[in-house]
Formats: sequence, structure tokens, C-alpha cells
Amino acid sequence: MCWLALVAGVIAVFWGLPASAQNIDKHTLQAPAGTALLIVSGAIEKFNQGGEAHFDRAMLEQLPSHEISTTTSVTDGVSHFKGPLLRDVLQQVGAKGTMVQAQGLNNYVVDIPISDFYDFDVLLALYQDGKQLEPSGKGPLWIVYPRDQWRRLQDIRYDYRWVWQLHRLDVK
Amino acid sequence: MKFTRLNVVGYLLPVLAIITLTGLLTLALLRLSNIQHDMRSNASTNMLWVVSQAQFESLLLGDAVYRRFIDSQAQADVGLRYSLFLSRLTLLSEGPQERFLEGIGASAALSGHIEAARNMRQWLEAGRPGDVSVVLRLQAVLQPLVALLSTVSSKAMVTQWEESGARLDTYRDAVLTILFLMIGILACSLFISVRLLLALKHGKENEAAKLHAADLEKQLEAERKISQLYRSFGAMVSHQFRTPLAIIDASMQRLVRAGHDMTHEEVARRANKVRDATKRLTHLIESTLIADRISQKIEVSMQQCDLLLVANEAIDHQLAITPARQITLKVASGFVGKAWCDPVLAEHVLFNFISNAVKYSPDCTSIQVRVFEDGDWVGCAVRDEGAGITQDEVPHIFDRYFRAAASADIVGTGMGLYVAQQLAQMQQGQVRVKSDYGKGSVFELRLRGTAQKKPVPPASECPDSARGAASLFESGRMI
Repeated sequence: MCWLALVAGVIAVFWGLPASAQNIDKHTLQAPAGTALLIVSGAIEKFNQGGEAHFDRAMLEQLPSHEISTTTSVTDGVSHFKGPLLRDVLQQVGAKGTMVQAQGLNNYVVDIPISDFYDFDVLLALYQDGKQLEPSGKGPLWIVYPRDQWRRLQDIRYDYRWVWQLHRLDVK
Repeated sequence: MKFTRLNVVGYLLPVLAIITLTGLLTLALLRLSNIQHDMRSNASTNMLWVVSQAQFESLLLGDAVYRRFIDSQAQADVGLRYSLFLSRLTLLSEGPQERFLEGIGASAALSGHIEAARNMRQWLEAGRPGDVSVVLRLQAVLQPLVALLSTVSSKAMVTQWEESGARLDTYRDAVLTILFLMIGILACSLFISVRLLLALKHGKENEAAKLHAADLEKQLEAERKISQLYRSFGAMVSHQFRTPLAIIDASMQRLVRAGHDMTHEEVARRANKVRDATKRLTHLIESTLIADRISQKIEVSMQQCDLLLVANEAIDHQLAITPARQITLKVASGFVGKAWCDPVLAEHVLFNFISNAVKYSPDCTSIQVRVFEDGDWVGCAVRDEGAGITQDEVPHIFDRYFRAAASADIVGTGMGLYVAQQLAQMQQGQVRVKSDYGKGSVFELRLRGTAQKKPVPPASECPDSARGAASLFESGRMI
């Protein structure tokens, strides 16, 4: 039996251990330290809470930050938004799908084609005009399209995709 | 510009139609662009939805507060519900929504309620479970707000329906306007098209008229030439025939008056004079007729021939008639002189040039015949030292029946050079003349060289200047 243990040990060292490490890398997302601002579920490859990926503010702030200056359909003047790109968030969780169902805190639900996030630099805004977005306004997260940069986006059919108080993304 | 009927119909109306068409098109485009812009800008927030959301959140907040403070359910998230409630009120106080409320006169009333709602945070957070006063206080704030929101929502609905109706009216008006503009555009386009078609037709008619005029001009030119021909013929006949006729008349008068006193020899001499004159007349008539026929009935037999031999034959022919005349033949250096021609016709042309030279120059002067090559041409030039031809006469010297003023006293029909030219053209050749009035003339026959011609030698052997000198003409002064 001794030699069996030895073989098992060798397998564990050269195959088993790196495999489990790969497993962690492949499917495990860093666990959130604070309250989850965004929950991504559905067809994703990486998760940290059951089958879901929970992001707290710190995790979202860690992603490369982008900025957009644009008008919106519900406010006056040009606002300056800051936050990660939605495609970066979806890549972070290894999203495999064509649509996301975005849901707000008030249960506002809308389907958005994932191609939107690759065709345009769509932000998951954390800040508006330098101020953190709050649930009493349109926060904590607001999907922001570069509306002023693309004439195609100045359309009511894109306006409804600007989900504010975003809370959940379900990848389909 | 006179405002004649033609100007008004032909130019003014089409220009007006084009201006109107442009104006109508611009108006139609502007109108369409306005509609397009309006369609975009009218896609405003759905006020009814925003108001109903605010109402809904206020009810949810009331419910959460009730559960928290009356039912003492700790999980009732009053904080979240309050945030969402505030967010809806904030939305109502922003941008397009606020302007809309201001438009229906609800802005001031609502701002008071929003202020009160914002102040709720303190006592909501300070409240303890079982504290009924919090619920009552909340109800005092929410109830009038909900009532106001109901009023606002009904007003919003009415206003938006009114706006939709008005917008539809605008679109309908715009579409109608565009329809009328289109009718105008159609009418203008039709008018312009008809004018264009008419102009096209008119243009074609003008073109036909121009062609007709050109035909007439050609006919007139032909008539003029014929008339000129008759004049030349008349002049030649009157001059050439008058002298022999005068001789005949004078001899006959003499015979009539003094015939009976004359000896037989004298009568015979006079009669011979008359016969000579008659012979000359007959010769003139025959040569005129023959020369006229020659250019129409001749058959050309083209072959490769040596122009030097042809020139020699022509000279021999002339020397047989006038053996005393000095005629020299010069051959340009390197001359091989093979030409495409009919040797009989070519000889005829050269003989005509040589006999003319003999005829129109003093006996004491010499005649030079020179054969040469010039590019693709092989030529023969005959130079005399006679009276020459004036510059005015040079262009006509090859015309039928034309005779130069200097040759008026010499018998001739004016057909020789004409025939020479015709014969040269039949052989794809050409005749040229250069004359220095008072010093002499040069007549040249040029024929196409043959392919067997020797290759052009290098410049050192046959310089351009030597080749140029082969022709008796200086190239710059030809034609």
C-alpha cells in the first residue's frame, strides 16, 4: 500500500494541487467585504455567493474607471459620470450570454442586449458630477450611455435602458 | 432686355418655375426636418409613470413604517423605502419633470411636500417600535401628498393627451402642407420638363435648319465655282479665239476689197493664212475638249517606277519639239527615286511642266529639272526663268481655264495645269507651285515613295539640310 500512497502523493503534488488552485482562479471571485451594491447572476462563470457574483463598492472601484460627460433624458444640462465600464464588470464574472436583465431597487426591470456594452462605452456610474450616487437619488449605480457622443443613442428606445438604482444584473 | 412674349415664355417663366421649385423643395425639406426634430424632442419622460412611481413609493413607505412601528417587524426596511420614496420626489423636482409640473401649476404645492418629506428622516430614525406617533406623523405628511399626486397624475394625463392631440394636429398640418408643396413641386417640375422637351425639339429644328443652310451654302459655292468656270472659259475663248478670227476677218476683207487685183500666189498666201487660223481654232477646240475628257476617262495603272527615267522621257519629248532649248537634269545626292505612279501619266504631268517652262520663258534662258526625295515623297521640280506668276494668281493657277495675266499673249486653253493636277491626284500625288514674279517659277510633282526605298542613311551621310534642299521649296514657305 505504501507505493499507492506515494503515487497518490505524486498525483496530488503535480496534478491535484494545481488543479484545485486553477479551480479557485477559474470559478471563484473575490468575496465582498461590505454590503453588495450589485448582484450579477445567470450565465456567469465566476461567483462568490452561491451561484451569484456580489460586488461591493470597493470591488467596483477596483475596476478601471472611465468617465462620460453627457446629457440625460431626466435632468437638465450636461452631467459628468464616473465608474467602471459595464463590459468590464461582465468580463470580470465571465458572463456568457446575449442579454442582461437589469433590475432596480424599485423592481424596475428591463432587458438590455450585451452588444450595447461592446458597441458603446456604457458606464456603471458610481459618481455624478463628483458626488457619489445615493439611493435617494439615482444611485447607488446608474447605467449611463454616451448619449451625446452617438446620435443613435438619442432615442427613447435607449433612454429606458438607463436603469438607475441598479441592483441586479441577470445574464441570459 | 425687352419684355417680349418670347422672353417671358422662353426665359422668365422657366426661371420663375425653377426658383419656385427650389423654394417649395426647401420649404418641404424644412418642414420635414422640423417634424423629424419634433419627433425626437417629444420623446420626453412619461410623467404619468413618474407620478405613479412616487405614489407607489409613498404607499410602500407607509406600509414599511406601519410594519416597523405598529407590528414591530424589524426586517421592514424603512431606510431603503424612504430612500426610494425620496428618489422619486427628487426625480419630480428635476429638469423636464419640474418644468412639466410648473406648466400645470403644481410645482409650488409639490415643492412644499418635498421639503416636508426630506425633513422626515430625523424623526423616522429617532422613532422606536410601538411609537404610534411616528405613524400618525407620517400619515399627516403622506396623505396630502398622495392626494396632490393624484391630482397631478390626472392633470398630467390630460395635459399629455392634449399635447399628443396637438402634436398629431401639427403632424397632420405638416403632412398636409407637404402634400400641397409636393403638388406645387410636381406642377413646377412638369412645367420645366415640358419647357425642356420643347427646347430640345426647338434645338433639333434649329440644327436641321443649320444643316439645310449649310447645304444651301455648299450649293451656292458650287454655283459660284461653276459661274467662275464659265467666266474663265469665256475669257479664254474670247481671247484665244479672237486673234485667229481677226486674222480670218482681215484676210477675207482684203480678198473682198482687192481680190481681183491679187495674183494667184497672193490669194493662195491669204487663203493659207486663213487656213492656219482655222487650224489654230480647231486645235484650240480639240485640246479643250480632249483635256476636259482626259481627267474623267483616264484609267490609272499604278506601278513602281523610276522617276528619273520618267523625267528623262519628258525632257526628250520636249527636246524633240524644241531641240535648241537648254534643259538640264539634276539628281539630288543619294536619289534612288522609286515612286508609286502611272509612268505615262507622270510623264504627261512632267511634260506639261516642261513645255510650259519652254513656252513661258525666253529662249535664251535655261530650264532646270530636278528629281529629289523628301521623306515619304519622291518628286520632280521644273524651274524656269520666265515672267513668273503674281502672288494673287498662284492659288488659281491649277484652276480650269485659268490663265495668268503675263501669259495673255501666248496661246493656251488654261487646261494644262488643271489636267496635271487631276492626274497627280489620281496617282495619290500632288502638284505645287512657287513663283517669284519677274524671276521665274518652280512647278513640282510629288508622288508617294515605295517601300523598297533604301533605308534612311545616318545623319553624317545624308544631313537634314541636304535632304531639305532636295525639294526646290523651302518647307516653311510651302502651302
